[in-house]
Amino acid sequence: MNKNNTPESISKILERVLPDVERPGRYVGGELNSVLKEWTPQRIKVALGFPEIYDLGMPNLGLSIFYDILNGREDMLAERVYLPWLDMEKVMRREAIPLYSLESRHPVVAFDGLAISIPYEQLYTNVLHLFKLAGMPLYTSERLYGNYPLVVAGGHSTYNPEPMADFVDVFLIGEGEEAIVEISEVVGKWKQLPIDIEESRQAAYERRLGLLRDLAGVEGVYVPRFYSVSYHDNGTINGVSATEGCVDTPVLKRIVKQLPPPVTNFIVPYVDVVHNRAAIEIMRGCTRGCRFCHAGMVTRPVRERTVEEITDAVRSIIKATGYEEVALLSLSSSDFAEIAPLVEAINTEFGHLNLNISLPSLRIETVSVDLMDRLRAVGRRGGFTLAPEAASERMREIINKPVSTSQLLETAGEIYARGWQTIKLYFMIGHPDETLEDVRAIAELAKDVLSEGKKALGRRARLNVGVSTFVPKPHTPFQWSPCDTLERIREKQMLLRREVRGNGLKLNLNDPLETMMESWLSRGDRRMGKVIYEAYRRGARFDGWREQFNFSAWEAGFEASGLNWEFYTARERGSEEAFPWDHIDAAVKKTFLLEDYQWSKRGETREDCRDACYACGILPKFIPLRKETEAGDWECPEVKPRHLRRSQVMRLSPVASDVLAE
Amino acid sequence: MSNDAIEILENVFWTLVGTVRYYIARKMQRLRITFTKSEEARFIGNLDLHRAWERTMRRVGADMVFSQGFNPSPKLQLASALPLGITSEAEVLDVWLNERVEIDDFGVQITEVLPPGIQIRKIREAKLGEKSLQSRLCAVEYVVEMRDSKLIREIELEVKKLLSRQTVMRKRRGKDYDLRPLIETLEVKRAKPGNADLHMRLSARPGFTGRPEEVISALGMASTWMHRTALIFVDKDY
Repeated sequence: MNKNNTPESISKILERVLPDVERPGRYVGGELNSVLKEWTPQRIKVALGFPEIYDLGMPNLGLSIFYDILNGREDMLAERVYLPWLDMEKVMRREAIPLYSLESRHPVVAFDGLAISIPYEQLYTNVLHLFKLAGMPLYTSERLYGNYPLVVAGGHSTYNPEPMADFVDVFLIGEGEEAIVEISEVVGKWKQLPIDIEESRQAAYERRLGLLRDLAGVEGVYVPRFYSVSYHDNGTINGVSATEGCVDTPVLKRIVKQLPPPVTNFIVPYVDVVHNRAAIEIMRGCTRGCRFCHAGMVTRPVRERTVEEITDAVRSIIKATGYEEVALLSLSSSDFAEIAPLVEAINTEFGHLNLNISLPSLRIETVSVDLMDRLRAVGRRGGFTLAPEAASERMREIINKPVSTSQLLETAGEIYARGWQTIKLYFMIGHPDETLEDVRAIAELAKDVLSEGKKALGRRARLNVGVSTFVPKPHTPFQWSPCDTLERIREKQMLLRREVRGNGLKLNLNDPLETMMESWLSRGDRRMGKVIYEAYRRGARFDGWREQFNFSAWEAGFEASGLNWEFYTARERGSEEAFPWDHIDAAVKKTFLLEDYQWSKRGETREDCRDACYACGILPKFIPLRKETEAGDWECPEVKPRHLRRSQVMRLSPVASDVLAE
Repeated sequence: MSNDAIEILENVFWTLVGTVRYYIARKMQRLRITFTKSEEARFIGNLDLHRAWERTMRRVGADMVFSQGFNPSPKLQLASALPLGITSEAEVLDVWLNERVEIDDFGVQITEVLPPGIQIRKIREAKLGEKSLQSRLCAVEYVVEMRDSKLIREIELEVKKLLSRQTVMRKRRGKDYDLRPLIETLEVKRAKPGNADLHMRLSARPGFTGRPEEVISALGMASTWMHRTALIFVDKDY
């Protein structure tokens, strides 16, 4: 047994070594509002892991919610685990300290469960790294024999769990506020089972399988071991079948019928982390239907908080944390039904406090400038961000983000006129059917926007243009679409570098190689696990850090696994193709997505589905839950069965027939 | 114009300025907080500590004075940056409030919401017109617990040697400087049986600041613990 595996021994070593590492405050815990509970044998102990360093893990809202929920229960405790940065990793290896939790400094392996949030694919190798530093086998099949914490993963990237299926014991698909408790309870009950001291390896394995079977009974839980995948000769999926009777196919994502009360007693880090602020999710889901947007498709239906709940939360947050910045999060702030009253209420109550209230994702219209202007009175001034995503009206129709160029210019003019010197414009290249002309339009639009600024502010006007590259995501209408090839992306970026230049203009591009990685991981299948493993073994980790990203490790990983990455990135999928994630049901129907993809090819748009239902499938999937909600709790319009409707808007019919079929 | 006339005009001017300032500021209050920074907080840098104090003030709803301009920031001044990893019982902070508070009540409120590792020793009112703490600081005292189990006599010898030198040239962040004039006092005291503590007073004037770990390193020794015991200001009554 390692002698460095008690909280005391770990603390003792830390005391000696921490002065030599960069930002030691990352590794000590003890921040205001952190919770240290006693490790009684009865308590179910959950480590909440974010596979990145403290500075990026701390602001994760999902884990803050779980921390609050689990620690709020007498029979459970939750502590945080982040990755050490490279210098600290070296020290930990030298001193043989395993990865430990910040609160009690127990090693990760001492917990009953390890819940990991994986919001984006660049973290996959880091998850393996986390296991490694914790002293756990990387493959779930190897962990079945030992007494390791149960590994649960969730977060947006896990709507396609397959690339990580070999490493994660169970996935929670969808929203975790209720499920995390249910999962912990199952683990707790399982822990109570008597264990034979001389238990054989096989018996331990069986006992562990029993746990996985019990967990499969929790709604939204996906146990990859209980499914087997077969492939066609051309490499595409033939089918996925359940190997255990106890599991659902497909696994329907979990949702909560109503947003639970927001977290207000956030941990306040001493160290300056990214997004050093409190956050309130004012609305979940989005009714806009931008075709590239993964979050917009998988977080339906739309659920909003009331203005009162939000202002109450801001008040409690200030009292509990003293944060000088509060972010009001949603996928599209302008669509929050009570947005104007909300801003007014915040202004009235908190206007004198010099608070910074941030309201991201505003629609491109002058009303947004009004809103921001009123919030600015509350506190400090940053830049103003607009995300048209594409520069030509044609492209914006393809991606279903219809904004006219004149409206964009008018909004930009208004922003500059009200005294913001810098606008940030976000675009993506690589949308389906994009030509070099569409890319050149980015440069032209940027110059037009800046000239609006020069009219208002003269030479002080600034414009930052961020151009990322589109990666097709599972469960979206573009899941059939090819991702641009490396050559094509480079060609487009070259064009942008040439054209987007001049006084006051700044251009930011991302690394095309990183785009490729994101692309093959996003739509990867279960075989991708081998690639991730081989790449990790060859040094791939911290893939989201430009200077750490190791493309050759990934190339070698593909070579070692006998796979070809262009199979995953550059191929347009046929309408009949089965996808690796087809057995995961994000509740938006594949037929709806396909129809929307075809509409995009014709340049047809679907407007806000608050007003008119396009029958994406979310309502028939959650009929029992919907019945428990009050009218208006979900922002889906009331859909009446066909025979009760007049002849209006008949294209809504599919949903009605689904409703009747139930 | 004669020099006398200029002087009279200047006096009139400054009296006027003072009066205006007085009327603007008479409701304001400048509080001086002496606090400790213990083990739990010893890895907090100066900027982080500044932010932690701002948040502490916000938690009790203190009506802080803010700077004007696009990015208003609260008026908070820490007397001296404490090097990372060192604990202290003598940190000093000035904070300006728009409305006067009852100091005892305020102290109780603040104490309830302090971040871990920070404790208040004293709060008192300071004159609004006083110069900044940083500009009035002149020296800082530390106690350092030595790691080496050297005999006290040996340590004393090393200290004597160091103090007898005219210059002690050191390099820090690529810059050469002379440590010797920064050491105002340095003496060995017996702590626990067999252990020695170094007590030192180092200069802390702007651009002329000594660091305790540099002294230890110049002695060729290592320490287990460094602790700040006092800040010395130009006038005693800080």
